[in-house]
Amino acid sequence: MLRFVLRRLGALAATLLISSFLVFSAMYAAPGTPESFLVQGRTVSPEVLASIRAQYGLDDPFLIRYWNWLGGVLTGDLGESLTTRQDVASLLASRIPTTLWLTLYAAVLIVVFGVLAGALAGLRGGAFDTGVLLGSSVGFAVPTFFAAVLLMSVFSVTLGWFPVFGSGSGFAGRIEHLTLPAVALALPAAAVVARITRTAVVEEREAEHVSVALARGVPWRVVARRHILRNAMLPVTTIVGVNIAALVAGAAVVEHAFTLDGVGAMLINSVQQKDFAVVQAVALLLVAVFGVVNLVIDILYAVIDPRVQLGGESA
Amino acid sequence: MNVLELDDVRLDLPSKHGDRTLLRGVSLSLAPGEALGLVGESGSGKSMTLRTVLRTEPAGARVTGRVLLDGRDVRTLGAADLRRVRADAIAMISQNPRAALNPVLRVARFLVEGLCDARGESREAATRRARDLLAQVGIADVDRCMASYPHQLSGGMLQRVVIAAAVASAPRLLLADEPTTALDVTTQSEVMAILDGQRREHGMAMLFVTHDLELASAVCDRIAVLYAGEIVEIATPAQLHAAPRHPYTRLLLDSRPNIAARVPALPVIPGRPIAAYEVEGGCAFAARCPWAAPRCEREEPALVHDAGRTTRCLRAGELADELAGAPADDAAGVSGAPAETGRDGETEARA
Repeated sequence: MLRFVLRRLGALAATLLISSFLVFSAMYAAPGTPESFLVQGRTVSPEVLASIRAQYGLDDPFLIRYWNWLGGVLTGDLGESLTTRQDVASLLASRIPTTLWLTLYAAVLIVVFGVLAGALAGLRGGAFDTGVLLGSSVGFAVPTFFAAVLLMSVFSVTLGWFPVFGSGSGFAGRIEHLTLPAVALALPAAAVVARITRTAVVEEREAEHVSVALARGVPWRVVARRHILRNAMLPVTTIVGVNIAALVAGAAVVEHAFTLDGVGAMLINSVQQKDFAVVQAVALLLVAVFGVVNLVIDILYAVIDPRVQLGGESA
Repeated sequence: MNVLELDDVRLDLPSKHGDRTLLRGVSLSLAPGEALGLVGESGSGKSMTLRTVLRTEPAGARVTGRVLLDGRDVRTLGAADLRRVRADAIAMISQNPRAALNPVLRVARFLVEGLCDARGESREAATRRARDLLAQVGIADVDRCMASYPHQLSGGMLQRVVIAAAVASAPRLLLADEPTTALDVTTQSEVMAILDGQRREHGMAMLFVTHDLELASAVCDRIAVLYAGEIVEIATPAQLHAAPRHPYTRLLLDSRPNIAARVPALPVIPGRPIAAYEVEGGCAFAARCPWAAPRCEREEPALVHDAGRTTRCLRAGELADELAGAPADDAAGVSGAPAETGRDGETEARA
């Protein structure tokens, strides 16, 4: 088990290294240069431009720049924002709580409503099943941005149940402020999860060992819990994991719509302003979160399915 | 009183092409401690017969007739009573043990579940009995077996586990659906011996489904031969081998190659087995029967009980002598049979 985790952590580090290079070079592949943003359309003398380029090390060869940046990242120095002159690490730290709360809230919604609705639909069938199938199609089809606007106009503006913007403070405040954003963010993923769960449950219901257990007189509720739901959770775990990992990226749209001061909104702003250091840091963070969530899912999968042998060799 | 009595059990399964009859009135009885073999080709309805007893037939199937377990009709039981019957009185051993166990739970869980969750016994008592039974079915390392997951055990080991689970609740009736078919030939006889030993030791009656007439003869007190969803003959293995009364039984016996002699071509039963829903009046076997007479196509034979024999054949009386005798002596007669139907096929094609 330990060897498996260590090996996966090594793979994660390699992934991060490769993506750091891609992230770093992608910014230079995009049109426009940082100094053209810095001068903000003003006409400046070539001397000033040269001094700016020298100050940000823009004249160094590409690989040298990458190396310097990577060294900084590894020592916790993510550089300085081009627009605000603030330290990127502390900037990021101030933004992380909002996004963390938002995605955690959305993840809980996905697990609770997606898995619950799918499981009940698969076990019960009938009208509830049809309702879940229909609801999940709608939930998946509605774009997140549209859902955000819709939720705001109905629950904030018309009914006045929730605040329109801001991320709130304290636990209750956060819950109050983040409910609508979290719902908007969770909706498509919950729809997918509900549908996958339903399919897995229906499939597992048909398994021979389920009918064997029933034919042995094991009560239905025990069979449903121990044999149908437990086994159906194997594929569901993977889908839930991938969807939760993707939330961090999806949060950008929702944070923008609800004007929340999270990492996602920060990413959008910094891309628009070509704030190199911030974009690189946020992109790297997204990759890291995705990798860590996937690692957790893989470990969880091995725990719930004994047939998965960690490390490939004998357990 | 009989442990089990099937009285004119019919089963229809709705399908896209209208209702399909799978059982056309199966009647049989099983005395306490008796082993009855259900023998027939694939699709003859032997497994379906078993499933009507446990009420595990496919969803949507319509079953008529009575299935009496100790005089009580299983078919009319409510959900709670049915569950109790399944937990206490009947145990089933299916063909593929690997599919019968939940792949992500340990063997101990499977064994204990049938006693704890199904019968409300204490976990300690259930575990103790499970361990005893595993030892009885010849598992050397009980601890390791209990702690194993199904994929870590061989098919033969798993079927022993299933047998242990089946006898654990000391049921009155054991339903065995080709319990050795999915196993290696070398483990087949071992598992069969364990099953038979456990059955005798616990005094259970057994309904044993197999396509292997020899195997059924070895372990069963009586054998019922099924064809196209109905019983065509019931007899003891000795009677069946010495003097089968139904042409189909005769051909089944002959299609088993004699290991003592090498034959140029293995004898086969001519034609293809038909399903119950394909039968249209007359004797179901008439189309494949070398001994069929014109009236066999028109009149439907009834199951006749006569002098300790039960047969469904219009010509049973006339053919008695011709059908009797060891397969080897009759080799010439049988090898002629396919040729005859070959001609029949041609006449059909021309018509």
